[in-house]
Amino acid sequence: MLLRARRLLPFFAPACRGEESPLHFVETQRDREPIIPNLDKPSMLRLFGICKQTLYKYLCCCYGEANIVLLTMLRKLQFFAFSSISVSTLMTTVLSVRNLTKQYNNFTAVNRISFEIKEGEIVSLLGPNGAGKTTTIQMLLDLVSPTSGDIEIFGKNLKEHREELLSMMNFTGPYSLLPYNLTPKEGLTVFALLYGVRDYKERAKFLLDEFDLAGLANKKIGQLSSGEHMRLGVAKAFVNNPRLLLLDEPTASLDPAIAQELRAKILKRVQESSGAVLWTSHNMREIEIVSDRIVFLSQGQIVADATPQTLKKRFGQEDLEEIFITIAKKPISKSL
Amino acid sequence: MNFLHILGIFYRNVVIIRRSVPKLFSLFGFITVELFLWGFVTLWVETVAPADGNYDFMLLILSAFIFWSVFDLSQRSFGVSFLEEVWSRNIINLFASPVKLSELILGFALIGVAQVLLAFFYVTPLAFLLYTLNIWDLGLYIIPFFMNILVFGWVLGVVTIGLVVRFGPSADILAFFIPFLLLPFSAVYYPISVFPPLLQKLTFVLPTRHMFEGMRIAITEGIVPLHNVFWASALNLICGLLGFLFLYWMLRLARTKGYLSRLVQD
Repeated sequence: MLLRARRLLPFFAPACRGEESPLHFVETQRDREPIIPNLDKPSMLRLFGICKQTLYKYLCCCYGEANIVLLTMLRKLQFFAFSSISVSTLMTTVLSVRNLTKQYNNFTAVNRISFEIKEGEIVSLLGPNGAGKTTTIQMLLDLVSPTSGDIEIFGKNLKEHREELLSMMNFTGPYSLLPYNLTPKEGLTVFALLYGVRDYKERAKFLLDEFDLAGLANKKIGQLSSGEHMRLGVAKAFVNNPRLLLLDEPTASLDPAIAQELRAKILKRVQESSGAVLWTSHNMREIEIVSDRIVFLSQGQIVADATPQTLKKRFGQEDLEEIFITIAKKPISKSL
Repeated sequence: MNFLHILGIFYRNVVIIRRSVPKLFSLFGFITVELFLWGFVTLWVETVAPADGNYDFMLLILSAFIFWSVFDLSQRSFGVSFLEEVWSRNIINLFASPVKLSELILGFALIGVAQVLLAFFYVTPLAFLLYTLNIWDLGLYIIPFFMNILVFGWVLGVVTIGLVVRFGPSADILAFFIPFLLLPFSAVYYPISVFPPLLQKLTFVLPTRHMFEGMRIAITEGIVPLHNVFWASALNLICGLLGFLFLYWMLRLARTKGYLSRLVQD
């Protein structure tokens, strides 16, 4: 299927400028121009949206829904095609972080980091413990105010359009448990209301079915297993159909089978909503499966920002975990 | 202002209260026990100091108790609604949602009103059954005082939230302690004339002093003392504004210093 897709690429290829590899750093593609004549940017995006959805539905019919291999393949194919024909320049920038810094007295938790996430992209934020991942996510959620720097979501400043932007985002993380004294049904209903979802009852019911929680709908959240709680946390993250999703270790403490199942569900929902995702995890295999790009943090600074393939090529290693260890141990000045 | 956000906060608290026996007890149980306590005290006072026509001790003391309970519950329900989010480690989810501070306060105020009204309409018939005290005899005089008591309860609730945000969950005791601090200086069960002259001047800034003093005048003299209504309302307005600014300042500080995430770690 990938080969068939690659064969289609020459049709778009004349549009491709420059000699870079399609899997080169995303930042270098910014300057590329729209390439299909007589189509403005919104039309182009609509066209690609339709193509992507059609392909997704076709593949789902053939291979069944929520198939992790299928979803991953589709994501890679989409990213490969988009990179090849420079469509990533046309995709809306969902999140733009510029020179973001957070200082607590003499300690710098996050130090002048800048990165972007485009529509449909899954970017992984990696780094050793204390690298500044959670602080970054908390700044993106306006739980922590940056010392300096800008956060723009859909081109709007987070501080100035807080409520509007937060209603388009959602998150899940190990530090944010759901209220133990509610049932999953009540919890999802409450969050649907808090995110301003009009058909909140239907939405809660839909998510309970979607994340296989219907059987637990009336059990207290405090009585759920950690796996069930994690699934509920992810279901809550989809309560408002977010266009920017922040997932802080969404599969931590899950066994591999349940983690894989949950990943597939997340990818499926993301695929359907064309949302952008910032994903953190210490599971390198998971990162490799889901990520279009990896932003690597160490001591509060970005030390690498590349696709998994580029990172492997640069380090001459096939194992992302080895790369993680190498980067984590490397002094900042010697990093990428 | 998004009505769904306010409904979400209201619904979340209704579910908790409806299901929790200790919460139902705190709503109806404490007030029942205290009604017995103050009822017996009043019965004893009436035997040692017989009413001379000007002082209906039963009406004076028990109505003061009922309105103090309204104030206490108004403040406590507000503070506990917020603390419930801290205790269940849901506070990060709440602050990362698109709910505005004003919507949060309105949601808590709404659940506070619901609890106060439930308790009020439970305790007034009970007081009538036990001591033939008909609080409705006070007529419409009590409405401005009742409203002021309710609002000042919210104001102190807002301050409680600010303190919990600043000092963490260990400051939760303040949710129960703050009204108790004001009790001796609010002239709830006695007139302000019993205070030393300096204390009379110092307590002028307390809206509760004007509320309870005014209510006592309304009961004993059958008139609404407008100056008490005015001062209670004006001071309430000033305290409300200061309380809101205090909470806003605390939240700003919490975002700068990272106290919000500490709320789920302590």
